[in-house]
Amino acid sequence: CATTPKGPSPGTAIPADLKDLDRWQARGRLGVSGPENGGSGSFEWQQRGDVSNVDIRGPIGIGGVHLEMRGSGGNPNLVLQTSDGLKLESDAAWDELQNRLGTAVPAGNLRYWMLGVAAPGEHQWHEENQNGVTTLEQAGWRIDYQRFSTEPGARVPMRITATSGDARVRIVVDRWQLGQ
Amino acid sequence: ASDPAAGRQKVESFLQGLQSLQAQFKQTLSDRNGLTVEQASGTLAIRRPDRFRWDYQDPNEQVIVADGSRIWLYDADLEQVTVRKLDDTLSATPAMLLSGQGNLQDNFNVTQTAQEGGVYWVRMEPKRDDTDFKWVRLGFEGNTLKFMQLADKLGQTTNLEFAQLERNPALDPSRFTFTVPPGADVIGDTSRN
Repeated sequence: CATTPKGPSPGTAIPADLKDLDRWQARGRLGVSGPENGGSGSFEWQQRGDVSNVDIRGPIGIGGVHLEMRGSGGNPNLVLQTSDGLKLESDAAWDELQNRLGTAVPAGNLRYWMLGVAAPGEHQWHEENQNGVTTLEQAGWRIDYQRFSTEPGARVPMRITATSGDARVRIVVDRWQLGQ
Repeated sequence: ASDPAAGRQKVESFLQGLQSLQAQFKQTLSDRNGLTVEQASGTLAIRRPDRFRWDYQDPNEQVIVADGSRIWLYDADLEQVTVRKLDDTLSATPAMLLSGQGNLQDNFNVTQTAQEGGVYWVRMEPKRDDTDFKWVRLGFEGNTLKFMQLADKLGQTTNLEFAQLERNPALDPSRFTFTVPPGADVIGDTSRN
């Protein structure tokens, strides 16, 4: 039985421009591949103003990381904790994240890209092509939005593929909670 | 009263003569404040040593296969396969606990036992400190394994409940090999060694 992915819960006050939304949560799966290695796992993203708390877990207890990012630009301050007991900050944290995920994931921008909005700064939108994919280009990344939620509330992405060179991040959102 | 020696004996007698195992499982993940974050279910098959297959059917199709030398992880939605060597850092993972051939003493210390209702719990901690989890608890109902819980160092706990657990069923070896589905990306070293 294909359970339809849950879109945003209706009835919460959602600003017209999602960029102004300062509280949201999303749960789903993330696949990252880089030139050497990569990984996949489920994620839980909680955004409160400029603070993102993200848990990425491998299945049955194989590897997990917790990220806390503060700041609005594309390069927020990062604190990284890993399930095998490591705790790192700023550059060391960014390096470890890249090492574990196999590529430099623009986690700072992902906060905006996840919602289907551009991060602050230069960017370029390409309208929906024939197979329904809308594309954003920003910071050297190409972000293809392959599926949006059809539920009332807000049009948020359910399936995203971001590529830059031979790095690729694929996100499938199973559940959105906007305004909470 | 807690009796680690008896706990070790219980686990070892369960693993004694266990060539293969098959069961349905329900998996619940709860975050550091005990809130259920994720629920999934599927089937588990194990052939010792070093072969197992977790088939997650619900809510998403994922499969994890240990083929004796590598672990393959496939997520259908992500169309991605991640493969990594079955090396010793994995020997202390719970999945390997059931399927590994090393005996218990090598990888785990039994630290506590408790009888709660009909379940006899044995708590074990990995001897290595670079593992992904702090402790694992095995819950036995009579002689059969009913629960496996593990807590990672981020404070999250995974709880597995097994049903229709069969000891030493005949399992087709092909269940412990993995073929990459067409169109899926493969990440990690697929070199055969």
